[in-house]
Amino acid sequence: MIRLFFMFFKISALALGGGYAMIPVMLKNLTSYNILSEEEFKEILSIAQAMPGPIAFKVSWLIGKKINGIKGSLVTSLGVLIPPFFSIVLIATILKKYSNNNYVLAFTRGAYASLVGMVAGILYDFIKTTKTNIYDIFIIIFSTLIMFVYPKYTVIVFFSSIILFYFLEKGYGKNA
Amino acid sequence: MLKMILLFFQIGFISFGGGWASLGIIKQLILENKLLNEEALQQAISISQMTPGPVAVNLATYIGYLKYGLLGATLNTIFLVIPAIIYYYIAKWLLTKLNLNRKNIMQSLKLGTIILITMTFLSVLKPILTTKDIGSIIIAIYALILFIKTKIDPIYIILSSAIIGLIVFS
Repeated sequence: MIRLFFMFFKISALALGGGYAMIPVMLKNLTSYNILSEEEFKEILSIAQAMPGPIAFKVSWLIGKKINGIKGSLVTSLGVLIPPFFSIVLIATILKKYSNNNYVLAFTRGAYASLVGMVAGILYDFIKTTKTNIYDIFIIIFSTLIMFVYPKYTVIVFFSSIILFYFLEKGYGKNA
Repeated sequence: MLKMILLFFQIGFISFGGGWASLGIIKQLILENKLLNEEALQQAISISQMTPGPVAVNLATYIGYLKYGLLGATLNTIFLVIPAIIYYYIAKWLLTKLNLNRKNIMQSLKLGTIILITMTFLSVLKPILTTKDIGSIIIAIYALILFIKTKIDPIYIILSSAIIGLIVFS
Protein backbone atom coordinates (compact mmCIF):
# COMPACT_ATOMS: atom_id res chain seq x y z
CA MET A 1 0.00 0.00 0.00
CA ILE A 2 2.79 2.40 0.88
CA ARG A 3 4.52 1.51 -2.37
CA LEU A 4 1.29 2.27 -4.22
CA PHE A 5 1.03 5.66 -2.54
CA PHE A 6 4.56 6.62 -3.53
CA MET A 7 4.08 5.36 -7.06
CA PHE A 8 1.14 7.71 -7.58
CA PHE A 9 2.87 10.46 -5.65
CA LYS A 10 5.88 10.26 -7.95
CA ILE A 11 3.78 10.13 -11.13
CA SER A 12 1.83 13.19 -10.09
CA ALA A 13 4.84 15.17 -8.90
CA LEU A 14 6.68 14.68 -12.18
CA ALA A 15 3.78 15.19 -14.58
CA LEU A 16 3.89 18.70 -15.93
CA GLY A 17 1.14 19.74 -18.29
CA GLY A 18 -2.01 18.45 -16.64
CA GLY A 19 -3.77 15.18 -16.01
CA TYR A 20 -3.55 13.68 -19.47
CA ALA A 21 0.23 13.70 -19.26
CA MET A 22 -0.03 11.23 -16.34
CA ILE A 23 -2.08 8.54 -18.06
CA PRO A 24 0.67 6.89 -20.16
CA VAL A 25 3.10 7.06 -17.21
CA MET A 26 0.53 5.36 -14.96
CA LEU A 27 -0.02 2.62 -17.51
CA LYS A 28 3.69 1.96 -17.82
CA ASN A 29 4.27 1.89 -14.06
CA LEU A 30 1.29 -0.32 -13.23
CA THR A 31 1.90 -2.87 -15.96
CA SER A 32 5.66 -3.09 -15.36
CA TYR A 33 5.03 -3.95 -11.68
CA ASN A 34 2.24 -6.34 -12.71
CA ILE A 35 -0.30 -4.47 -10.62
CA LEU A 36 -2.80 -4.23 -13.46
CA SER A 37 -2.97 -5.57 -17.00
CA GLU A 38 -3.27 -3.25 -19.96
CA GLU A 39 -6.87 -4.39 -20.60
CA GLU A 40 -7.85 -3.65 -17.01
CA PHE A 41 -6.27 -0.22 -17.28
CA LYS A 42 -8.10 0.56 -20.53
CA GLU A 43 -11.40 -0.46 -19.00
CA ILE A 44 -10.78 1.84 -16.04
CA LEU A 45 -9.86 4.64 -18.43
CA SER A 46 -13.12 4.31 -20.33
CA ILE A 47 -15.17 4.39 -17.11
CA ALA A 48 -13.19 7.42 -15.97
CA GLN A 49 -13.95 9.23 -19.20
CA ALA A 50 -17.67 9.03 -18.46
CA MET A 51 -17.17 10.65 -15.06
CA PRO A 52 -16.79 14.39 -14.42
CA GLY A 53 -13.71 15.82 -12.71
CA PRO A 54 -9.95 15.74 -13.22
CA ILE A 55 -8.94 12.65 -15.20
CA ALA A 56 -5.85 11.87 -13.12
CA PHE A 57 -7.92 11.81 -9.95
CA LYS A 58 -10.69 9.63 -11.43
CA VAL A 59 -8.24 7.09 -12.87
CA SER A 60 -6.21 6.86 -9.66
CA TRP A 61 -9.39 6.55 -7.60
CA LEU A 62 -10.71 3.70 -9.77
CA ILE A 63 -7.34 1.92 -9.82
CA GLY A 64 -7.07 2.08 -6.04
CA LYS A 65 -10.63 0.79 -5.74
CA LYS A 66 -9.87 -2.12 -8.03
CA ILE A 67 -6.72 -3.09 -6.12
CA ASN A 68 -7.88 -2.65 -2.54
CA GLY A 69 -11.42 -1.23 -2.34
CA ILE A 70 -12.11 2.16 -0.77
CA LYS A 71 -8.88 1.98 1.24
CA GLY A 72 -6.91 1.61 -1.99
CA SER A 73 -8.81 4.55 -3.50
CA LEU A 74 -7.85 6.78 -0.62
CA VAL A 75 -4.19 5.83 -0.93
CA THR A 76 -3.91 6.35 -4.69
CA SER A 77 -5.96 9.54 -4.87
CA LEU A 78 -4.10 11.14 -1.98
CA GLY A 79 -0.87 10.19 -3.74
CA VAL A 80 -2.05 12.02 -6.85
CA LEU A 81 -3.51 15.06 -5.07
CA ILE A 82 -0.81 15.86 -2.53
CA PRO A 83 2.07 16.91 -4.85
CA PRO A 84 0.08 19.50 -6.84
CA PHE A 85 -1.49 20.75 -3.63
CA PHE A 86 1.81 21.59 -2.00
CA SER A 87 3.47 22.89 -5.15
CA ILE A 88 0.54 25.27 -5.63
CA VAL A 89 0.59 26.39 -2.00
CA LEU A 90 4.33 27.01 -2.28
CA ILE A 91 4.05 28.97 -5.52
CA ALA A 92 1.04 30.93 -4.28
CA THR A 93 2.96 31.96 -1.18
CA ILE A 94 5.88 33.22 -3.26
CA LEU A 95 3.65 34.89 -5.83
CA LYS A 96 1.61 36.75 -3.23
CA LYS A 97 4.70 38.92 -2.77
CA TYR A 98 5.55 39.35 -6.43
CA SER A 99 2.19 39.20 -8.20
CA ASN A 100 2.57 42.82 -9.29
CA ASN A 101 6.16 42.45 -10.42
CA ASN A 102 6.45 43.36 -14.11
CA TYR A 103 8.45 40.27 -15.03
CA VAL A 104 6.01 37.93 -13.33
CA LEU A 105 3.11 39.68 -15.06
CA ALA A 106 4.78 39.43 -18.48
CA PHE A 107 5.65 35.77 -17.97
CA THR A 108 2.13 34.74 -16.94
CA ARG A 109 0.60 36.91 -19.66
CA GLY A 110 2.58 34.98 -22.28
CA ALA A 111 1.58 31.65 -20.75
CA TYR A 112 -2.05 32.72 -20.71
CA ALA A 113 -1.92 33.68 -24.39
CA SER A 114 -0.57 30.23 -25.27
CA LEU A 115 -3.55 28.72 -23.49
CA VAL A 116 -5.95 30.63 -25.74
CA GLY A 117 -4.24 29.15 -28.80
CA MET A 118 -4.12 25.64 -27.39
CA VAL A 119 -7.76 25.64 -26.35
CA ALA A 120 -8.58 26.60 -29.94
CA GLY A 121 -6.46 23.63 -31.02
CA ILE A 122 -8.24 21.24 -28.64
CA LEU A 123 -11.61 22.48 -29.85
CA TYR A 124 -10.52 21.91 -33.44
CA ASP A 125 -9.35 18.36 -32.64
CA PHE A 126 -12.59 17.57 -30.85
CA ILE A 127 -14.85 18.84 -33.60
CA LYS A 128 -12.79 16.97 -36.19
CA THR A 129 -12.98 13.64 -34.38
CA THR A 130 -16.60 13.77 -33.21
CA LYS A 131 -19.56 12.82 -35.36
CA THR A 132 -21.97 15.74 -35.34
CA ASN A 133 -25.12 16.64 -37.21
CA ILE A 134 -26.96 19.90 -37.72
CA TYR A 135 -29.08 19.47 -34.55
CA ASP A 136 -26.03 18.77 -32.42
CA ILE A 137 -24.31 21.89 -33.75
CA PHE A 138 -27.41 23.96 -33.07
CA ILE A 139 -27.59 22.71 -29.47
CA ILE A 140 -23.86 23.30 -29.00
CA ILE A 141 -24.04 26.92 -30.18
CA PHE A 142 -27.24 27.66 -28.30
CA SER A 143 -26.15 26.17 -24.96
CA THR A 144 -22.70 27.71 -25.13
CA LEU A 145 -24.21 31.14 -25.63
CA ILE A 146 -26.60 30.75 -22.70
CA MET A 147 -23.80 29.47 -20.45
CA PHE A 148 -21.50 32.26 -21.53
CA VAL A 149 -24.00 35.05 -20.98
CA TYR A 150 -25.75 33.57 -17.92
CA PRO A 151 -23.17 31.54 -15.97
CA LYS A 152 -25.83 30.99 -13.27
CA TYR A 153 -27.63 28.47 -15.45
CA THR A 154 -24.50 26.53 -16.47
CA VAL A 155 -25.39 23.31 -14.67
CA ILE A 156 -29.02 23.16 -15.83
CA VAL A 157 -28.17 24.05 -19.42
CA PHE A 158 -25.33 21.54 -19.54
CA PHE A 159 -27.36 18.59 -18.29
CA SER A 160 -30.38 19.42 -20.46
CA SER A 161 -28.06 19.42 -23.49
CA ILE A 162 -26.63 16.04 -22.52
CA ILE A 163 -30.15 14.61 -22.21
CA LEU A 164 -31.14 16.14 -25.55
CA PHE A 165 -28.02 14.71 -27.22
CA TYR A 166 -28.83 11.32 -25.76
CA PHE A 167 -32.35 11.20 -27.13
CA LEU A 168 -31.20 12.54 -30.49
CA GLU A 169 -28.61 9.75 -30.69
CA LYS A 170 -31.19 7.18 -29.66
CA GLY A 171 -33.55 8.45 -32.37
CA TYR A 172 -30.84 8.03 -35.00
CA GLY A 173 -30.03 4.56 -33.75
CA LYS A 174 -33.60 3.51 -34.43
CA ASN A 175 -33.69 4.97 -37.93
CA ALA A 176 -30.45 3.39 -38.96
CA MET B 1 -16.18 30.62 2.18
CA LEU B 2 -19.14 28.25 1.95
CA LYS B 3 -20.16 29.95 -1.28
CA MET B 4 -16.73 29.33 -2.81
CA ILE B 5 -16.66 25.66 -1.80
CA LEU B 6 -20.16 25.07 -3.14
CA LEU B 7 -19.08 26.71 -6.38
CA PHE B 8 -16.26 24.20 -6.82
CA PHE B 9 -18.58 21.38 -5.78
CA GLN B 10 -20.92 22.46 -8.57
CA ILE B 11 -18.01 22.69 -11.01
CA GLY B 12 -16.99 19.15 -10.01
CA PHE B 13 -20.29 17.80 -11.29
CA ILE B 14 -20.04 19.18 -14.80
CA SER B 15 -16.33 19.15 -15.50
CA PHE B 16 -16.40 16.47 -18.17
CA GLY B 17 -13.62 16.07 -20.70
CA GLY B 18 -10.59 17.09 -18.67
CA GLY B 19 -9.35 20.22 -17.00
CA TRP B 20 -9.02 22.40 -20.06
CA ALA B 21 -12.63 21.79 -20.99
CA SER B 22 -13.90 22.87 -17.59
CA LEU B 23 -11.68 25.93 -17.40
CA GLY B 24 -14.35 28.05 -19.11
CA ILE B 25 -17.10 27.30 -16.61
CA ILE B 26 -14.67 27.76 -13.73
CA LYS B 27 -13.67 31.13 -15.13
CA GLN B 28 -17.23 32.31 -15.79
CA LEU B 29 -18.48 31.20 -12.37
CA ILE B 30 -15.54 32.77 -10.52
CA LEU B 31 -16.08 36.09 -12.28
CA GLU B 32 -19.86 35.96 -11.82
CA ASN B 33 -19.38 35.46 -8.08
CA LYS B 34 -16.61 38.07 -7.93
CA LEU B 35 -14.16 35.74 -6.20
CA LEU B 36 -11.24 37.13 -8.20
CA ASN B 37 -10.94 39.83 -10.84
CA GLU B 38 -10.11 39.05 -14.47
CA GLU B 39 -6.42 39.87 -14.13
CA ALA B 40 -5.79 37.85 -10.96
CA LEU B 41 -7.75 34.96 -12.47
CA GLN B 42 -5.61 34.98 -15.63
CA GLN B 43 -2.52 34.80 -13.49
CA ALA B 44 -4.03 31.94 -11.48
CA ILE B 45 -4.82 30.04 -14.69
CA SER B 46 -1.28 30.53 -16.04
CA ILE B 47 0.24 29.24 -12.81
CA SER B 48 -2.12 26.27 -12.73
CA GLN B 49 -1.10 25.06 -16.14
CA MET B 50 2.62 25.36 -15.42
CA THR B 51 2.64 23.46 -12.12
CA PRO B 52 2.47 19.66 -11.99
CA GLY B 53 -0.94 18.10 -11.49
CA PRO B 54 -4.38 18.45 -13.07
CA VAL B 55 -5.17 22.04 -14.13
CA ALA B 56 -8.62 22.11 -12.51
CA VAL B 57 -7.28 20.82 -9.19
CA ASN B 58 -4.42 23.32 -9.28
CA LEU B 59 -6.79 26.18 -9.97
CA ALA B 60 -9.16 25.15 -7.17
CA THR B 61 -6.25 24.86 -4.73
CA TYR B 62 -4.74 28.16 -5.84
CA ILE B 63 -7.97 30.15 -5.58
CA GLY B 64 -8.83 28.54 -2.24
CA TYR B 65 -5.39 29.45 -0.93
CA LEU B 66 -5.53 33.05 -2.15
CA LYS B 67 -8.91 33.61 -0.56
CA TYR B 68 -8.83 31.60 2.65
CA GLY B 69 -5.35 30.12 3.13
CA LEU B 70 -4.64 26.44 3.67
CA LEU B 71 -8.17 25.61 4.83
CA GLY B 72 -9.68 27.13 1.68
CA ALA B 73 -7.18 25.29 -0.49
CA THR B 74 -7.91 21.94 1.16
CA LEU B 75 -11.69 22.27 1.07
CA ASN B 76 -11.73 23.47 -2.55
CA THR B 77 -9.64 20.51 -3.65
CA ILE B 78 -11.80 18.00 -1.78
CA PHE B 79 -15.08 19.43 -2.99
CA LEU B 80 -13.87 19.53 -6.57
CA VAL B 81 -13.17 15.80 -6.64
CA ILE B 82 -16.02 14.46 -4.48
CA PRO B 83 -18.66 14.83 -7.25
CA ALA B 84 -16.74 12.32 -9.39
CA ILE B 85 -17.19 9.70 -6.65
CA ILE B 86 -20.86 10.53 -6.04
CA TYR B 87 -21.43 10.47 -9.78
CA TYR B 88 -19.77 7.05 -10.06
CA TYR B 89 -22.28 5.44 -7.69
CA ILE B 90 -25.31 7.28 -9.11
CA ALA B 91 -24.31 6.33 -12.67
CA LYS B 92 -23.79 2.70 -11.69
CA TRP B 93 -27.25 2.61 -10.15
CA LEU B 94 -28.89 4.51 -13.02
CA LEU B 95 -27.31 2.31 -15.67
CA THR B 96 -28.78 -0.84 -14.17
CA LYS B 97 -32.18 0.80 -13.57
CA LEU B 98 -32.73 2.64 -16.83
CA ASN B 99 -30.99 0.33 -19.24
CA LEU B 100 -29.37 3.22 -21.09
CA ASN B 101 -27.20 2.66 -24.14
CA ARG B 102 -23.55 3.08 -23.18
CA LYS B 103 -22.38 4.09 -26.63
CA ASN B 104 -25.00 6.83 -26.88
CA ILE B 105 -24.05 8.14 -23.45
CA MET B 106 -20.40 8.39 -24.46
CA GLN B 107 -21.34 10.21 -27.66
CA SER B 108 -23.60 12.63 -25.72
CA LEU B 109 -20.84 13.35 -23.23
CA LYS B 110 -18.41 13.95 -26.07
CA LEU B 111 -20.83 16.47 -27.58
CA GLY B 112 -21.26 17.98 -24.12
CA THR B 113 -17.50 18.33 -23.89
CA ILE B 114 -17.52 20.34 -27.12
CA ILE B 115 -19.93 22.75 -25.41
CA LEU B 116 -17.55 23.08 -22.48
CA ILE B 117 -14.48 23.61 -24.67
CA THR B 118 -16.28 26.17 -26.86
CA MET B 119 -17.24 27.93 -23.67
CA THR B 120 -13.63 27.79 -22.43
CA PHE B 121 -12.41 29.16 -25.73
CA LEU B 122 -14.82 32.09 -25.62
CA SER B 123 -14.03 32.98 -22.03
CA VAL B 124 -10.24 32.80 -22.39
CA LEU B 125 -10.36 34.69 -25.68
CA LYS B 126 -12.59 37.51 -24.44
CA PRO B 127 -10.05 39.43 -22.30
CA ILE B 128 -7.33 39.51 -24.96
CA LEU B 129 -9.84 40.67 -27.58
CA THR B 130 -11.48 43.34 -25.47
CA THR B 131 -8.14 44.83 -24.46
CA LYS B 132 -6.94 44.59 -28.11
CA ASP B 133 -3.81 42.89 -26.84
CA ILE B 134 -1.99 42.28 -30.16
CA GLY B 135 1.04 40.63 -28.51
CA SER B 136 -1.16 38.02 -26.82
CA ILE B 137 -3.10 37.38 -30.02
CA ILE B 138 0.15 36.67 -31.87
CA ILE B 139 1.38 34.32 -29.12
CA ALA B 140 -2.02 32.57 -29.19
CA ILE B 141 -1.71 31.99 -32.95
CA TYR B 142 1.87 30.74 -32.47
CA ALA B 143 0.65 28.26 -29.83
CA LEU B 144 -2.29 27.15 -31.98
CA ILE B 145 -0.04 26.38 -34.95
CA LEU B 146 2.46 24.45 -32.81
CA PHE B 147 -0.38 22.56 -31.15
CA ILE B 148 -2.10 21.48 -34.34
CA LYS B 149 0.86 21.04 -36.66
CA THR B 150 3.51 19.51 -34.42
CA LYS B 151 3.70 16.87 -31.69
CA ILE B 152 5.56 19.13 -29.25
CA ASP B 153 4.54 18.52 -25.64
CA PRO B 154 2.11 21.29 -24.57
CA ILE B 155 4.27 22.15 -21.57
CA TYR B 156 7.03 23.36 -23.93
CA ILE B 157 4.51 25.41 -25.90
CA ILE B 158 3.39 27.03 -22.65
CA LEU B 159 6.94 27.67 -21.40
CA SER B 160 8.18 29.08 -24.72
CA SER B 161 5.13 31.35 -24.89
CA ALA B 162 5.78 32.51 -21.34
CA ILE B 163 9.36 33.36 -22.28
CA ILE B 164 8.21 35.22 -25.40
CA GLY B 165 5.80 37.06 -23.12
CA LEU B 166 8.62 37.89 -20.74
CA ILE B 167 10.63 39.43 -23.59
CA VAL B 168 7.78 41.22 -25.36
CA PHE B 169 5.65 42.47 -22.47
CA SER B 170 8.23 43.56 -19.90
